[in-house]
Amino acid sequence: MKRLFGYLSAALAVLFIAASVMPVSAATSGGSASLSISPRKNYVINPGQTITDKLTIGNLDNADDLHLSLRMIDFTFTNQSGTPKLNLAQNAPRTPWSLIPFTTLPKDLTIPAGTSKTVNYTITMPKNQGAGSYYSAILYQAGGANGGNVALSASGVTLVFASVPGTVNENMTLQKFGAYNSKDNGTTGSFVFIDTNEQPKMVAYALKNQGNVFESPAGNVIIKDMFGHQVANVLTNSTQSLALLGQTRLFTSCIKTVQQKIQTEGGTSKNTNCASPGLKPGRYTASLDVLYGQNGNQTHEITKVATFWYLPWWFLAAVAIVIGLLVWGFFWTKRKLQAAVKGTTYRKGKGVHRLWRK
Amino acid sequence: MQKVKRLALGMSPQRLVLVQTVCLLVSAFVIFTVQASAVIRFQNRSLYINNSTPGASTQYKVSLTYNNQGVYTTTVGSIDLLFCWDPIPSEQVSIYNPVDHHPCVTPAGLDVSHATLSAQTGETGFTILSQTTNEIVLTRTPGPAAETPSTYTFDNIINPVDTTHSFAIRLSDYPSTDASGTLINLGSVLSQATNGVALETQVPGILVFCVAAQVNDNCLGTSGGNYTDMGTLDPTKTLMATSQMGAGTNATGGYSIVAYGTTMQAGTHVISALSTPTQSAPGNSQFGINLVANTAPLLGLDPAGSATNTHVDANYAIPNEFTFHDGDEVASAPNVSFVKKYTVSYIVNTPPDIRAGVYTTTLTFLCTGRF
Repeated sequence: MKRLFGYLSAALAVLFIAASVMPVSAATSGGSASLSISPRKNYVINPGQTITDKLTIGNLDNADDLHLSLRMIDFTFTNQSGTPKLNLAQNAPRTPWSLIPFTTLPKDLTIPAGTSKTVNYTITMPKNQGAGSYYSAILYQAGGANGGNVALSASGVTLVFASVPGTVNENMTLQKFGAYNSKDNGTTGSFVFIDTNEQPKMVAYALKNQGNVFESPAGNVIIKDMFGHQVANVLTNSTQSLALLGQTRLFTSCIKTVQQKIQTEGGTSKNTNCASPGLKPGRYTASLDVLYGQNGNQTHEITKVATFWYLPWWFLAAVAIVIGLLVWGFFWTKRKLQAAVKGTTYRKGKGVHRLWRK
Repeated sequence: MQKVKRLALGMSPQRLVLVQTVCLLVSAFVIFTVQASAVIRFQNRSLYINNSTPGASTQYKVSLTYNNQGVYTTTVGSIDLLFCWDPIPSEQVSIYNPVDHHPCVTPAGLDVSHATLSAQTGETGFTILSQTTNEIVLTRTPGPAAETPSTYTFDNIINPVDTTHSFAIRLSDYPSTDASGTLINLGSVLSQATNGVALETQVPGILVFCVAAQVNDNCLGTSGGNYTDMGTLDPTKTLMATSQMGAGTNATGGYSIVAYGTTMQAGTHVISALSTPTQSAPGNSQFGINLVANTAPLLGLDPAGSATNTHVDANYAIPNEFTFHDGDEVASAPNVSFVKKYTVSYIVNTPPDIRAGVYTTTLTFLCTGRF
């Protein structure tokens, strides 16, 4: 018995050591992890109404089938951007604006390699549901694998926004507005009052949404130079970005854009990059005029005027040189005049008026 | 006089020039400060569209309150309703503003040429004087307008078909009967056609995303599976691995890729995730990732692809420095973007006294549209 126990102990020890030092190599791939989905859905749903829509999901992988699990999750905002903060936990508390209780969705899907599948899902708004905005997201989880030290999983998300029409509480306040400097088309950056390095390529404004609906303000920013000439008319929020409930949303727009055509499934789109707006050194005035308001509710207007300076270092250096030359020219001329008229010269530290009085 | 003399006597020419320059700059600042011109707006403006389906023939109800504060006349004889993409009314063309920077572009599909005025409340007595595809002029016998809420309901208006754009009605009223002369009040109301569920009038938004050890261009194939084997933990060397992901979209909101998961762990024993970008240091407890090419250790690649507007988040874009935090955005595109291929580099370092075990993690890369 003792010998048997010894053998078992030795075997367990060998197994333990082997497990400790050997990488796990036997693993099963989760199939395709390459999908195409719709990024966003928008609906207007009346109380008591049921809408049925289609979700088209593509498996871009030509070799493996795509196994997906679908579920609705809630989300809110991440800082001032349009990146959703997703509540992935299975038991996450529902948000007040959740669409989860109203949505019926298939749970699992298998899409053969290189094909796409369309499935129906429904949203039923209760009869007594109040006017306002509701939003959740459809999570498509794919590519789970067992094995290796780092297992990878790919997930896609469709954001679903629904508006229930009626009288709503709309209240947005302007937090900040002005020229904006960003190296990455507004993903990161900061407001600028005096720019000495490069021309500001963007304008931006931050609006705080204190109402009970998401808002998509639209309008323009007019930029004029110090002589009152209009140098740019910037259409703001052309992408129909939203300020979610409680969010302070930063809306950025290029002063001048360059576009690149993009061929994707189903058609052609254009992406946008900021280009140099061609500003000359000086002071600029930016006038913001944006409107927002839900269907049937009062249209609200926000206006603001901000200023900014574009004073590049080369311009400041040139101005300093010119001023220096002017000062030097002034005294050089004065000395020459004094010498010619009075036969004397300026004496340092005595003051120009005193000399003239003499 | 004495003060002037003291000032004159006490100031060297250099200081005098300096003071003059400062005064000049301050004067220029004051002179060139442009005041926003005051515009008298209609109050409580709103628009209700009975059926906002693109291309539908429906009823529009415009609400407003005349604003008599500071106007040059309260006599109203006509109202102009101009339907445009751009909600901002045009400024008067002048030598300082020779070009109309807010031209009215008619929303595609919109047609008000057959609209009828079916109801009016508040300031009433209006009839349609003229109408085109995107403009209606209401007229009445000129009379004083009170600051009472007024509504004007139009039937048979055909909605715009583009749901990617809001549109506006530019409103203005005049003492004349044909919307000529100087306006009294102005203001816009904003609305938008909303996609019908079964009606696809535009190119549908598509978000493409793939994750694997290696991914092909445009996510048309993957290889290497969905897991990465990093080998045997060794306190004297850094374990490394890479995986790839591709993302692209034709949606104007762009996309965002977020990494979810935990650090590597074996039961209750964990390898510390690097909370800030840090260089790899064998012998320490470190787990981190980044999305750029590294030289120490030699690992990873910079993002590849023709999209020029994509962005790797700052913490994950520092060569030779790694970090990991559950829920961090690692890459994004602010608008429409070609499929971009990102290479994720993983490093693991362990201390000599690490507890034996199989250390694993599952990372979920989640690609979402932006709002």
